[in-house]
Amino acid sequence: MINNNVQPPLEADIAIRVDNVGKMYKLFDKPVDRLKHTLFWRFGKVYGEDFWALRNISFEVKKGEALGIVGRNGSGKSTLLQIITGVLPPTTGTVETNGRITALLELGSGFNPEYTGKENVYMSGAILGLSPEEVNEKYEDILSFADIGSFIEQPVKLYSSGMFARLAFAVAVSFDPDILIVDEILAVGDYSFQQKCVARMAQMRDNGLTLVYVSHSTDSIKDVCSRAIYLKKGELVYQGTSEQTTDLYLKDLREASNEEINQSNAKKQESTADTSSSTLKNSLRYGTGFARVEKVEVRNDAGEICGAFEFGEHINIDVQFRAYRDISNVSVGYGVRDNSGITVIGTTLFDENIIIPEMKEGEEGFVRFRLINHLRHGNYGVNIGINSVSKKDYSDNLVLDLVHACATFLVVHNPKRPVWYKCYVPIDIEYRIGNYAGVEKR
Amino acid sequence: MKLFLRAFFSLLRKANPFAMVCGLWQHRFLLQQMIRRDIGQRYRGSYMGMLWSLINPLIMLLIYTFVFSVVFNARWRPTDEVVPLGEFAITLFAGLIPFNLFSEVVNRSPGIIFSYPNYVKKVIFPLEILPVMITGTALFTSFVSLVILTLASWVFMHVFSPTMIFLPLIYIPLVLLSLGLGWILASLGVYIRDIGQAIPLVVQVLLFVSPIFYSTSSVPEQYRAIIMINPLTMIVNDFRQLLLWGQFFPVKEWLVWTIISGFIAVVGYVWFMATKKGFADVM
Repeated sequence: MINNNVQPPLEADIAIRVDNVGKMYKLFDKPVDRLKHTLFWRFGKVYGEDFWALRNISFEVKKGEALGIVGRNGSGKSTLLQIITGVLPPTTGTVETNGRITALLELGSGFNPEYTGKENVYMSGAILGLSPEEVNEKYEDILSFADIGSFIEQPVKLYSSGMFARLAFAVAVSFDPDILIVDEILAVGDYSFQQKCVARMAQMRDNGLTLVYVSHSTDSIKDVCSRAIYLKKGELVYQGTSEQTTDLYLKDLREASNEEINQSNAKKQESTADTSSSTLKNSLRYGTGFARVEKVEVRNDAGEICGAFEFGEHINIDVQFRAYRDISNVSVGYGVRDNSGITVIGTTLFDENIIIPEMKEGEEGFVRFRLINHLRHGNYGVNIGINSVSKKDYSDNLVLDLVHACATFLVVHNPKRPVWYKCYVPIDIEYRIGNYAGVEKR
Repeated sequence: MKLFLRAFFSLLRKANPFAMVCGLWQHRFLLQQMIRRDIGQRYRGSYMGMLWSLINPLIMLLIYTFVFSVVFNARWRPTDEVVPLGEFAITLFAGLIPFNLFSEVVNRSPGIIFSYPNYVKKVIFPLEILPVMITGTALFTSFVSLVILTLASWVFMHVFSPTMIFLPLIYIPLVLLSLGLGWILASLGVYIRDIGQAIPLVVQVLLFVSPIFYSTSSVPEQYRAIIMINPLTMIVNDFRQLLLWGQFFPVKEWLVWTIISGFIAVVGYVWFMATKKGFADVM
């Protein structure tokens, strides 16, 4: 109500304009300083210390456009959404919006757990300024979208998180918002519900809804949004098409995770340098320690360290290892585990009939496993093992070193070539169409 | 302090009663539901439900009768006549009705924002209606008490005062005053937690500084001025006059207090609207 700077009205085709927005959190010693600050900052008094959660953010969203926001945890995405919604005031800059906003900042946070789903639906409508009659008109719609049956008459506290998500989303989309703001909510629902939500958002977008969508799932951002912005440590580092932005984001993620891997590898090496034999020092690693994995890297075909792959791309798993004693019949193997812990694929040199007859103490080795990515989308971890083995039934197998999860990578869902099974295997398919009798005659 | 005053005056310039009324009217459906829930929440899950809101004033009335009329043999005015048994208690109760409304609003306001953290941080919600909701609930309680009082005065004192129909006029300054303070306290309570501790004490003091347990005329001359600056004094007296004694209330005094209360309400509203932006940062 107060302190509304007079500004030229938004052009008719702009739904949201964020202009040079910054959010500074004051870290105060005493709560009273906070009140003094709220009242007196305009008179030039300074209280507390500054922390900038967002800085210099400017962008526009056109009517009917869908904008995605990506960024790591703590990059300021949620703060930005809260500011656009109007729940939080920006410290600097302005946000102008055009039309009625509905925000799903946290699922069902407007819901009172003690009340039934139905009561909460009417309450949510009232918060938006709708009369009970107006809510009545939408009620059937909400029920059918939420699809929670008779649970609508039960207190919300009895709902499963999925039912909660269904109802909250149904309520948010049913009251005809002009602008819908969605913060990482679909993760709760099951897959079919997620698809339903994404489809509904896409449909509403086509009908002129303006959408701002935060998700860690870069795929659903690509599905729904035409444009995306990338926030990093509170600053807007990139804006472009959703493909470009998510690609850049994934690349950054990869680099960051590789750095972490390298650091932890360095630590592992330090810790092993002073112990000659391998005890279970690291719970993810065991073996005699006669040979040790020194470095594992996942690269793409261009030789760059890479953390995400699409269907059909080559994954190169590079293994460097070193012998700490004279050893014979050395075999190196890899395994790829999905996030449920199942080793989906893998092989060893020995199984592939490649034999390293012997290695001298101090000698280094290098193996590259190059495979075509046919995995289902998701996160994968790489295990590397070094054994000494010479009999096909593995009766003389000696594990020299086995390291779990020494590298990770992501397989990206490619909507053009989805993999709905754990792993695709190249296949030949024959098919015929027509009269079966005709086939027999041939 | 100087800064406080400067901030205060810059707020005053923005005070506009029409903006306040429009702002609240816009949220009438929400307000309706919030009040209904607030009242319901109190009795939710209890077997007797809404009956409690009847039982409470009834029991209090009985206790007052026993303590003041039977044990203390207290008289409202010095007289040798035989007074009806419940007279003192009923007179006392008539004064308590407006006071209870005031104290309920003022006591609940400092903590009210904290009881709805989601409405501050997660959804777009007109927080300014929360003190209005408290006032609405308090009004409901007060109406129930009124009904009981009217019945009791009829049964025990054989009194039915027709001037009662002017009672809504007295509610105007009472509600505006409570609401205005409610807004200010609700906002301050977010920033200064001590408010929540201090207010019950202040209310307790006010209870005895208002002519609830005694009549204004029984206060010694030299202290009467203190009693009279208390806005509740006028309201409490008017309540008794209209409810029990069939008298009309002093209009001039009423007008002055109504204007002052209206002013407090508008200031409270503007203050709340100006400070509510900072709530999300504090909580």
